[in-house]
Amino acid sequence: MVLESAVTDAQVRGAPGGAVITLVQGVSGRFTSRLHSERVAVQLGVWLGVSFTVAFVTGLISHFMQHPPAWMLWPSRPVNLYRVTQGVHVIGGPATIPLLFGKLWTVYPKLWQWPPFRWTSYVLYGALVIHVTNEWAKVRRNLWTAECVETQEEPRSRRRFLGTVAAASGLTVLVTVGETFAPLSKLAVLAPRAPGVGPQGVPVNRTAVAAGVSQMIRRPDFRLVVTGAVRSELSLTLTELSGMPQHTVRLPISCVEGWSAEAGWTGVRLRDLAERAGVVPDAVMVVESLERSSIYRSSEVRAPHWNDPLTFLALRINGSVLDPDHGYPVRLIAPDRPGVLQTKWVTRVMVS
Amino acid sequence: MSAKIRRWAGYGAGGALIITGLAGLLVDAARTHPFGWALWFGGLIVAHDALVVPVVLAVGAAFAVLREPFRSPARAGLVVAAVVCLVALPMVLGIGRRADNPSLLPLDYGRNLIAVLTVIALAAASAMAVSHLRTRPEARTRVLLGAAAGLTGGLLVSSLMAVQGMLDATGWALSLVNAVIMGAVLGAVAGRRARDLATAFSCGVLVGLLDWASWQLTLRPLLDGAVPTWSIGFAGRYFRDLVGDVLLGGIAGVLLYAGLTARQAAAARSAPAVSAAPAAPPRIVIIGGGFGGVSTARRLDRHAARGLRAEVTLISDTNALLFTPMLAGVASSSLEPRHVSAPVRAALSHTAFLHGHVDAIDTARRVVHVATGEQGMAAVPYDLLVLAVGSVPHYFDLPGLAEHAFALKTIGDATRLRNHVLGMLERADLETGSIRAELLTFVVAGGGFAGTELIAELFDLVHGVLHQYPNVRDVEPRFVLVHAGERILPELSAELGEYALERLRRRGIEFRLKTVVAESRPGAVRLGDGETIPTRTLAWTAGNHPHPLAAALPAEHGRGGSVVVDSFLRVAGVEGVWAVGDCALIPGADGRPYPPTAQHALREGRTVADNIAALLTGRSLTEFRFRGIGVLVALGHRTAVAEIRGHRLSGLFAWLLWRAVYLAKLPGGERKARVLADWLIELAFPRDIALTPSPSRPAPEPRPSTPGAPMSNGTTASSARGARHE
Repeated sequence: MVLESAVTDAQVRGAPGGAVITLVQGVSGRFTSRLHSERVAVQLGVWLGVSFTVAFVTGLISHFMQHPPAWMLWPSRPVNLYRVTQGVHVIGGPATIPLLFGKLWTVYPKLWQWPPFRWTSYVLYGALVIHVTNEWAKVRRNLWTAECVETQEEPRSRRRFLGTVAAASGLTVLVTVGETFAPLSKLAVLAPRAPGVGPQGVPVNRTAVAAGVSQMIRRPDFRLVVTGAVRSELSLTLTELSGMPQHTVRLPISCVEGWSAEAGWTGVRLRDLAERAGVVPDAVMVVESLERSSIYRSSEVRAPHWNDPLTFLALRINGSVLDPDHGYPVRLIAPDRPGVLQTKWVTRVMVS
Repeated sequence: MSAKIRRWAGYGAGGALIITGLAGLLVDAARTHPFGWALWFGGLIVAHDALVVPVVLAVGAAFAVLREPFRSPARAGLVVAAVVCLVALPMVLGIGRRADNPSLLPLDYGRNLIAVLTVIALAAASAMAVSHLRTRPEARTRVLLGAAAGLTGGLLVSSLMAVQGMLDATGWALSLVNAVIMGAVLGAVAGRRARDLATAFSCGVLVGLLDWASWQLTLRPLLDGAVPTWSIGFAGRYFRDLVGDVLLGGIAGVLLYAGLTARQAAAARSAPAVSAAPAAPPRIVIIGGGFGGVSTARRLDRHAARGLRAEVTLISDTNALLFTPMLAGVASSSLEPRHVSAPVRAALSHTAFLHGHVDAIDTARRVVHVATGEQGMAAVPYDLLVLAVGSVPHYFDLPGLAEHAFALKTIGDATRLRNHVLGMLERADLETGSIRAELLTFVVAGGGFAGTELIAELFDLVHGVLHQYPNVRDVEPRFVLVHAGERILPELSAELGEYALERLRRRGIEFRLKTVVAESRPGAVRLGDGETIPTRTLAWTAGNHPHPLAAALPAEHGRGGSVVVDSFLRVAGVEGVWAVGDCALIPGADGRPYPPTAQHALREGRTVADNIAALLTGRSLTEFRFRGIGVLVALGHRTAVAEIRGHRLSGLFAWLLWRAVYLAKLPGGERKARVLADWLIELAFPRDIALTPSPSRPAPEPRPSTPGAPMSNGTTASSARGARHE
């Protein structure tokens, strides 16, 4: 029918482009649902704006926690801070998809009108800021001053539409959030990681095989070396490490992928080791791993973290000796720290 | 700080962010592969426009078939399901799985996705059930009573099982939920059929068995990841649950029956004697054996098969349903008369048929007087009456028309016209001179569907057999169509009407538009503008008015004598009378009345039958709403024009479509076969010119003789459209 009238009009007008214009106008006119309204678009737009902002901000936090500039000192408390921000960042992603589709559907007819990863997030967010600036007047008009008069049918169908979008977002969150939020772990049937599934009951991101350290960790001449700006260098065997005073702590591993799992870690306080070696209070420690080829083979531990009594070089997890995939023989575990910085297969601590 | 400054600050901030992002992308080009990024980004947009949007539009169009209370929950469920599928797709496909890391994607995502989708489907189904029940209080009560019965039974059975140590806390909760759901299903399914204790009990037992089979044998294994096997060995393991479920079902059935009986007794007590249901089933009488009447009767048959208590009688003075769209074919000797009438009795199962002529309707005493039987008169009493008497030709009291013009309303009319035209050819072959021109001139009055198709068919007939009459080879037959309006086929769009006119004109058919017929004499027809056309044949399709029975009803009347009805098809002001078809004036959604076509009459009949059934069972009535699907007009010479839902068609394809559509609509498989055979034979052989005995011209329809009923005169001019059955 649309083509018919388009052809007719084009024949009448005699212009080839006229046919295309008429076709496009015809398509735009086919979208007759009243939900293609400014008000719905604005409401979804506000949620989208909030969601994108949250994603952008938590993303920035995650980035700067992994690669802090020299002047930035992240605190080591609250213990679960990174877990929460990264969980929100990753779970919020799928939850935004229905919002985005809903918004696109609402404004779709208007797109037919004539005379149309780390850096990616900047581009997207910048575009969003420009878009919001443009549409600000509409937001004010629709949300804060009830200017338009509505028929009885509109609020109901609008609420149904927004409710459907909310339900889609909500359900997506519900079936994935359990991978980081323990009480809902039973519902996380569509999450990439299941809490409790993995060696020793804790999931793994990078395995020993993938890191290429499976042979090296078994060598009998393994030593943990503390060197650099220290009063006395240390070179400890595993037995000597186990001989030092051991403490146990419950801390989560919060992976950048969005999952997290808590476990009980037993080992040596990094602070005790530093005392033994003789380190100045504001020193920066670099913990290095046996792994050779990865940008995360070493991580910086700054003063707030290594002075924290909860920062450990762990030897056991939940009472049993560390599995190779979890960092046998020694791994770093600290509060409020991204999982990639919880260095595994630690062999050297470089103090500066 | 003015709005303008704020606005520009926003643009600036956004722009800065974008530039930062783009710059970073380029600076870190080695790591970020900006080209790949752009490809991915662009690909996403293209995928959205090329894949997602068409799929969404197609699915949305498919959803248009669902009616409103069901459409929204179904649509919402589909949206949520689509989003979840999208999110879960990478995981179901196992993208990123590694052999060395079993903790990555450890779950059976396919099965989990199906489980989540099932939950969504169940939620949507429950929402649909709830919104359905909201509009049907009767069904809602039954379901709630069933659920209550199920719950009570569930408590009993669960306590029995708990006493024997077979249940723990979660077991209690699950079994109670199961009992409530089973009870609700029992209420919905058996609530109406549970007329006695035994039926209720057996229904309960059956539903319990079904519950056990669907949960223990089918759903549970599926959720555990195994394929359900309905083997005796497997079932034997769940024998205890079977006993429990069957017991639960039986108890619930008994309780449901008790609840329903108690409710009925309470209702009877609280509404004493005012309108006690008649002990005998209500009597419904349908007058008229055309499209409206027969479709009403057939629909009531369907309701009767589903339990409606009623005695239905159809009264008609012909015992066959005439398929009027093919009447022109009969008049032009292309179809046999009997092939286009379908016997009414064959189409009815529960309805009784009475062959007779209705003389009068006594609405005060609710009796129909029929001229039939040994005594000559029968009085048929009714509780509800459906008037489907249709329309009859109306000659506007113009002189000579009633005696000389040929109408095209019945089989007899068509046969007479055919014999007359062939008779004219025989006469013309005998004569010499100018009398032959008069004999071979054929005038049709009325440019609606009936008139246009008739003149085209007559043209084909005459020109198809002319070679068999050697003495008229030098005389050109003349065909004239007289139409009072500005253009023929007013129901079609102007373009198609013009096209049809041009096609017919090119063949040689003459048109007199904006003209009326003023008088008909034995050898000539005088038109309103004074022109006299010498002819012996005048076919009249230019006026119909509702049957006098409708005009005689003591109710409000519209133009021409049609009975005014409301949108539920009830006649206002008369108790228990409904009307459908050409004899009724039915208000459309936009205020204009629905046109008198067979398409509409068919559906009006269905609606009135549904409304009568609803009235008798205490449900709510539905309004009649119909948007015509389209119109098809055959123009002879194997061409036609059609307009279907806004799409215009013409030519051979439209003609094939005309034949296919009407063949499909013809009632009865045997009739379809015969008509198809007639058409196929017509391809090979010329039309039949054998004269057959002509039925005599019928007397004009007498005014009904209802004592005391006011006579209404339908003297206003009917529209020039003519009541064409489409």
